[in-house]
Amino acid sequence: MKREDFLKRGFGSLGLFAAIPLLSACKQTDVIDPETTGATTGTTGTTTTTTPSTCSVTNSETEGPFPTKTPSSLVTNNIVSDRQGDKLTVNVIIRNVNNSCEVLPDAIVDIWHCDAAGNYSEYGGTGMQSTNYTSVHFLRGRQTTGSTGLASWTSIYPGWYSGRAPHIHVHIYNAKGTSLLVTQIAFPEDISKLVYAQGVYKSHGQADTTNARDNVFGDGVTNEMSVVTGDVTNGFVLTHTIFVKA
Amino acid sequence: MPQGKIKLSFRIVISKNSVTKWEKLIWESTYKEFLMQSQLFSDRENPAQSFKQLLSQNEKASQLHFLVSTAAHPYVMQWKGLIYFLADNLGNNFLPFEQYRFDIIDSNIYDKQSHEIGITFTSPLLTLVDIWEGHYLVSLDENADPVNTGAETLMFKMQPRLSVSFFKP
Repeated sequence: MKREDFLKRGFGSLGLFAAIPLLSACKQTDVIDPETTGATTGTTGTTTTTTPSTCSVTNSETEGPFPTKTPSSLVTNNIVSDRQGDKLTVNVIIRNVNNSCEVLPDAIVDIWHCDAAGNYSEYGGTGMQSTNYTSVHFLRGRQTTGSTGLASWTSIYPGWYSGRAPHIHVHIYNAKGTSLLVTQIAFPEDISKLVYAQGVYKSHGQADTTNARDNVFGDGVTNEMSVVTGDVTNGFVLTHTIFVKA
Repeated sequence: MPQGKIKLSFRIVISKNSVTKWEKLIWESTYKEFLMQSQLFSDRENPAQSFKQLLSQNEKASQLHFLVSTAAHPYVMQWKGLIYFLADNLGNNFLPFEQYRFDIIDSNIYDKQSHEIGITFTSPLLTLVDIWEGHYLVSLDENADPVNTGAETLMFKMQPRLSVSFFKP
C-alpha cells in the first residue's frame, strides 16, 4: 500500500475516534471521589453510601487545568530556544517538479540542526534527560509554505560535529502529512570558517569535514548548497530552494 | 526509619481508553505526529505497520520517542510543573515535576486504536521523612530536617506506576 493511502486512513480515522471515549467513560465514573460524592448528595442519593477509603485517585481535582488544543512544539518560527550563537534566518522555498517547478504552497516543512557545540536536541538512551524539560526541543521547527512556497525560521548558525560537514536537515511533507522528501542543506565553507573562528563557536574550533569529504554531500553538493549572506555582527540569512514531486 | 532524599517518578499511560480531555488531546496529536515522523525511518514502498515492527527493522526509529514527544510537550507545559494525576492524600496538593520522559508503547500506521504512549514525570529532590501506612511522607523541601526542626509534609499513597527513582541517605 502506498503511503498516501495509509496517511489518508490515519488522518481519516480521527473523526471515527470521537465516539470511543463515550463507551469507556463509565469505567472512570465508577471511581467515586469523596468530594464529588458530597457535592452531588441529593441528586444521586445512592452514591453517598459509597466508602471513599478505597479510592486513591480522585476525579474532579485530577483533571488538572483546562487543557487547550495546541499544535506540536515544533510549530514555531523561532527555534533558538535556550541556544547561543550567531543569528541565522533560514528561508526555504519549495518548488514542485510535477508542476513545471512552480512554487508549492501548503507544504509542511520540518528543519532541525545541531547547536554551536554540535549537539542535537535529543535525549539518548534510557536515562533521564539532563537539560531543562522546557527547552528540550531546541533547534527544531515546522512551518507551512505560503503562496510563494516560502517557509522561514529564525535560528542560529549551526555548529558541526565530527565526521560531518555543517548542515541542516529538512523533511518536506504535503499538506496531508505525507512525506515528499528528506534532504539536507549544505553551507558555504568560507562563511562557516568565519563563524567558527569567533563567539560561542570558537572553543569548538573549525569543522573537521569539508563538503567534498562529507558522506552526504561528497557526491556533489551543488543541489544542496545554500546561499548565505550577512556577517557575524548582523547575523546571516540562508536561502535555499528545494525541488520535490508533489 | 527510611529517611533520605528521594525523587518520585509517576507514569501515565495514555491509550484509546483514556477519558480526560488532556489525555485525549495528547493521544490525538501524538498519533498524528507518529504518522508523520515515522516516515523518516520506514521503507517508502513497504512501510512497517507497527512501531515495534519499525524498531526491529530500523533501530534508529527509537528516535521517535523523542520526535513524537514534540506533540505532547505543549500539553505537559500546560500543567506548569505539577502532576495533576497524582494528588496527595488531601486530594488538592499535587506532586511537582522537574523532568518528564515520553515513550511510545506501541502504535500502528493502519490502526489508530493501538496507539499507546507513556509519560513518566519525575519530581525534584524531596526529603523522605518516613513511610506510614502505605504512604510516602515527604517534604517538598529537599533540605528539610524533620527530626530536629519539623517540616511541612505531603502524603502520597503507594500505588501502581509510582516509584522511588532516586535515593540518597
